[in-house]
Amino acid sequence: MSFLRGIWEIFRKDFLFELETGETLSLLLVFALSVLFLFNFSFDLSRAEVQKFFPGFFWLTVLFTSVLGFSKAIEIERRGHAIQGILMTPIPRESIYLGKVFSSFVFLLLVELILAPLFVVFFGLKMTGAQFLQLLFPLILGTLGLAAIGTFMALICQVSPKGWLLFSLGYFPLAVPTLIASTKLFQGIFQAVGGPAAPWLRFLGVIDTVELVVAVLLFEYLMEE
Amino acid sequence: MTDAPPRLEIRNLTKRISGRKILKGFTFSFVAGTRYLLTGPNGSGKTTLLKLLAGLMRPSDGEILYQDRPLEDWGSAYGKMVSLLSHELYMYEDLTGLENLEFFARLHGLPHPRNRALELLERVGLKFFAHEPVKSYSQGMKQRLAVAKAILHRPKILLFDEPFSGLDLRGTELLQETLQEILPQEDGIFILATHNPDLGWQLADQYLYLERGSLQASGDRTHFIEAKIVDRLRQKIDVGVF
Repeated sequence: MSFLRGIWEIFRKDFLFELETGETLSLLLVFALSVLFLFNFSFDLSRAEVQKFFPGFFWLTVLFTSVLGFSKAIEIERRGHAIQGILMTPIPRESIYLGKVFSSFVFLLLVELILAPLFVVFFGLKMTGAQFLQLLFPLILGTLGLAAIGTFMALICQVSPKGWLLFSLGYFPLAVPTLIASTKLFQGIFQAVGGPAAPWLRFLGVIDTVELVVAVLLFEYLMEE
Repeated sequence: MTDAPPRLEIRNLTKRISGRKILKGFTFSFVAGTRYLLTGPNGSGKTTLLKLLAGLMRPSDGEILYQDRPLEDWGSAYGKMVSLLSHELYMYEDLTGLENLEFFARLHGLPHPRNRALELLERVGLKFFAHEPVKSYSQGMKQRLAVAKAILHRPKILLFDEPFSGLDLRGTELLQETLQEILPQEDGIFILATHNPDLGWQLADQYLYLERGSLQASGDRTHFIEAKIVDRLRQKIDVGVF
């Protein structure tokens, strides 16, 4: 089986699973909306303050939500030891990891695409069509970065008895560069601050690539036991 | 993939888990067309051995050779040759039986995965439950589905780890019937691990007896009786209980 076909089959299965159960998207969406409501009703901010804090609030919500998403993605594989069933097939090992990254990326991105306009509405911001399209770049690259680290760290939970400790020690610090770059890009779009977007986009592209390559190299070793 | 009869050889196999030696210098050659009963008391290393043979674990020392090549050299392609059925399901309980089999058939790159999945569901008597989620199956139905998954890609090496675990009498009978029906049609190497030799001998023609990670005895059924393996198993159970 080819590498790309393997990624597609893993994603296809996760998508099918979601169609059957609706568990992941509903969980992520309800959680993200709850955080949005909490932020919205907890702070009494001026328009200028909203513009300043909105990107941070948004990516903080994404960070919290992503943890649920990764734990859910791995829980699916843990139940019935299904991942061991996959490991006994001729699918390339890296396809398993990248297939799970792709699934988490798509589910998280879908939630963000619903969340971003709601954030704008709830915080009384104005967003043009052009701005929404501009948001897609940090959303896609930022989410890919989080999915690359989060999926890998969640898979560690699968093999280590102290997995969730390792997850928290690994995921949150490693996610910081991605979150800073994504937040800066959001600030640029809504406030015209944060400097030109191109360097931050390049930075996100580079760290996404590095994270994916390192995780793929380590995944085979991780799955041995 | 080769059509030659499978050769599976273990040389000085040692496995340590968390510093503890689970298998201690195990050497054995499995012959094609033979069905092996792998028995021994709890904790003797049966499951670890099967996981090593399935390629799910790597040896700490020694090696496992398939067609004279170490398993590491085969990489993920070894997955086409081997199958492991255990008391764990290795499937998705929220998906239906058909969806599960079709998914694994796709991962094995089989042509017409849905047709193959339907064919096997019929063969193990689950045709009418094909569209039911696996979580709604009884334990016996789950085990029969696991048998279907195990033979999905026509593996050369079939490894069964305590397949009767958790089954009631009727479930055991049904699974035995399914295995009796399926096994004669599958050439290759069949290894059944169980601590219940009575059940195992209905499917096997050679045995291996493990104790504390070492191969203590092997041979045919006559040798099994002469070596008083059942008595040794009972003694180990007694020691465990009292």
